[in-house]
Amino acid sequence: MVKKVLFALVVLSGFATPRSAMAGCTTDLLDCFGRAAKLDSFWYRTAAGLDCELDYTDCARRRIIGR
Amino acid sequence: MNTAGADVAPAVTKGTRMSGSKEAMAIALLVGAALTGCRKAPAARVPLHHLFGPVIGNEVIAGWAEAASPDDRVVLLVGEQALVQIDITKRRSERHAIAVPTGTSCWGHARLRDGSLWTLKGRRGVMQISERGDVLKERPLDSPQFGLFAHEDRLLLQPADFQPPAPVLYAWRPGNETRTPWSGLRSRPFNLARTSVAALNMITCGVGRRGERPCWFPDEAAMTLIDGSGVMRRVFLPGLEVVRPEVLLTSDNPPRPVRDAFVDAAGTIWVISSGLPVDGAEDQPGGWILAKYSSSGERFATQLLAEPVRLILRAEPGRAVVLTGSGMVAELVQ
Repeated sequence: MVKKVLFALVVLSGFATPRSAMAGCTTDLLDCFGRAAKLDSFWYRTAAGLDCELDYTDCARRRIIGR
Repeated sequence: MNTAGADVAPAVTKGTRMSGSKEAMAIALLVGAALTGCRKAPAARVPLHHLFGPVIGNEVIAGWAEAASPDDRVVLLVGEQALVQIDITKRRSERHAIAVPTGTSCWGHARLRDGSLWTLKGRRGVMQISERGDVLKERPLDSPQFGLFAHEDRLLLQPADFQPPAPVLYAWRPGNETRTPWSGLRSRPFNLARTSVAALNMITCGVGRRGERPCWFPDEAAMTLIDGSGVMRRVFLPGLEVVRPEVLLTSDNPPRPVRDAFVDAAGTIWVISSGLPVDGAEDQPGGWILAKYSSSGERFATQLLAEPVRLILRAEPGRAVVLTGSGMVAELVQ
């Protein structure tokens, strides 16, 4: 458990400089993956994971493509 | 008796040398003065002449359709649910909501040669819309899309692809079933998470008035120019700041080498790049550098701007009409 928490902190620290709306995209993605992982059905879980990825790209698109 | 210091001691004892601390202070003052003298004065910033506005607020521009003719209107897709028509000649603008259900996001905006306007509805639909935001046609797509542009009579779609390398753009004539890869432009692999790779491969295309459309990736100081038959060429843009992909993906307002680009009728490539703001400037979207390149990428000029610019709405030798960070339509005279 401690290892997992430390790993999560390390991963998040890599995304968190500077703390930003873009970092919000990433934390949203991790939250979304967390919710998807709780689904019982393999197929729903997989589809939900893919939707999480698309949500992330929507968010990222506003930041690095939007003008 | 120590005789080793005898040769130097007299100078000190005679008071012709300063003490250590005074000497250090003098050196520091000299160095400081030299540095101050050498420091460059802040580079002059090129002012913009406001024509009218503001036409938009601090909202994301999700796409824009160039004017079909010099007298025609530019149409911006803003906030993912509204159109803003800008009539540069008459110096006025109009805003219309797109007739889609609340919460529906539109992205990408393009005008075909016949004048029709198109946008993506959510991830899996494409719509023809009027300049007033009415939905004229709607068609579902079989896969999610990241972007939509146009070239002459073809829409250019960027599918959501997480596995590079793959074609970035597909051409599609509305009414036709098939979509075919457009140009040899391919997505690029990165040693990053697949979501990050997908984000870095999202492309933007600008306006080309000499038969080639400029398209660019968010992390590169380079441009791909694609002609009407899909033949492409790469042009590198020296002198623009590039940041690592990780920085681009984790910053709130990441520095982008190319924020917008416009190729004028003479083939000159106009580029807006992030640059650095004026000290104490308000936090506004847009880039602070205007750079101009020849058609082959030779740098003509790089200018710091007095205020940020979001889009180049029109460009011709010696003059550009731009949209500023404060939403004003402004003129930049070279």
